[in-house]
Amino acid sequence: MSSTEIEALNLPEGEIKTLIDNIKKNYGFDFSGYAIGSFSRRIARFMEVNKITSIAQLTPLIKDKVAFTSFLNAVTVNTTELFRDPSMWVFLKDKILPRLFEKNEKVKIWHAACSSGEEVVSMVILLKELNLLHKAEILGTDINTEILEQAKAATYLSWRLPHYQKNLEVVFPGKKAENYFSKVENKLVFKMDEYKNVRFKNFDLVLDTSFSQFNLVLCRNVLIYFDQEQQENIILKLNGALEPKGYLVLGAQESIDWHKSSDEFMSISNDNKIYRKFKGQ
Amino acid sequence: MLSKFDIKAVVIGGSAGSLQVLNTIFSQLPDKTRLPIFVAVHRLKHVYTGMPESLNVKSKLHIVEPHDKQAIAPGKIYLAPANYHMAIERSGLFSMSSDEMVLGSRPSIDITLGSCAEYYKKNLLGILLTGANKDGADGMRKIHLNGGHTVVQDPKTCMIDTMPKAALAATTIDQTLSIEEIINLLKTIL
Repeated sequence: MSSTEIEALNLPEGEIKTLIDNIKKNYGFDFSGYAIGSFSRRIARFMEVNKITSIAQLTPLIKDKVAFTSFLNAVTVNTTELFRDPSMWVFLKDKILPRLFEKNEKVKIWHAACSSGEEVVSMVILLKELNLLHKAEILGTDINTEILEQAKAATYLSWRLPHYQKNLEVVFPGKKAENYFSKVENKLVFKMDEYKNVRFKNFDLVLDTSFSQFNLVLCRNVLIYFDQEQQENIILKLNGALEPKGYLVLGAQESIDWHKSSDEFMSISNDNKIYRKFKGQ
Repeated sequence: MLSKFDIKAVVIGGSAGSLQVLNTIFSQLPDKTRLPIFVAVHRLKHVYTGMPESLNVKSKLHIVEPHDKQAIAPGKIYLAPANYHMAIERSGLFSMSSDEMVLGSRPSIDITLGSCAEYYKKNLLGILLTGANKDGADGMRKIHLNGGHTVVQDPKTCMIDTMPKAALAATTIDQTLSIEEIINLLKTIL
């Protein structure tokens, strides 16, 4: 059965809601605030790959913990790349970071939903080049423990190198991406464990209580997976995690403009989706 | 026969050669319409800017790349942004996603067409233009299955005819039209 045939079944919304309830009961993950259209599409794709033809057939399968982990990998999105949206990184490099590091002894940075960690690697490279890394504390979090292990290992497929190079070229013209990695067979390894000020932690943006006192929070292309109400909750949580006048970075097509909490922030760069917390508590 | 009052939205897909066609089409549309127009075209992943600007030069209707959860307004042309799939959520708001590429593309034409089909059902006009792969065929099939009206650019007038031919093979296409005829059709329903 092809994905198109499954999608033609139009996974019934009621069945998806029951599935979401089951997952919450058994595993404690809450998908009820996910944008249902794209969420159903990812479930349909998982079903296609695993030759599952109905939600009724899927439900007992994911009672198995191993099967559930692969389901979780499929329905949470893990698209990321080195220096994704390079113009945002240029803006950070030229406008935001120098100021932040001038004003603060230690700069705390949170990569919320960091997936396989390319964004953390990008930040480490950037701060190293600016000779600011020793003054930073970096935290990467994700809902998915398996993907967090990948982030810690910071090991990526070599074929992505040309792509990384294109992005890096915009941020640091003339630098070679391969110089930041060691090559092991067909993989690129970034030696993340050399940096004691970089940590990774399991964190569920929907359910867990927030951290606090970050100077910079990056949460890019995460809100798009949630419905409007859940987006609002997450923005509040991110706001709570920021120091007064801290910075928040969202994904290129995300915006807080039509959220209630938008007056808590001022826009610093509309093109790069960089916001600054307005009010200090 | 297609009635003006049946149609509440237009969705257009295209790939190789379609930018020129879109420019021609947009340059001849009126400056006001009660309908939203959604456009998904394959574009270079790392060219983030320029496409809406260049299309805006000749269009009287405003062309924008929507944000996630933005509300749909009539009279605008919404272009799927580079590196995102553009869909309409069941809430009627835009939804962007960075899910894997579909048939090698993000934005995927199938995703935009398919989600418009589910949202607008029989009140949708879907148009598939010139292009070099089969993206869009499945989306056109969904438009047809949901009762919408399907149009492809006449393969004889395409720079590369793979895309409309794939749609013609995949589903019922109500009309196969030249670019001039597509413009005339749009003028009557907008």
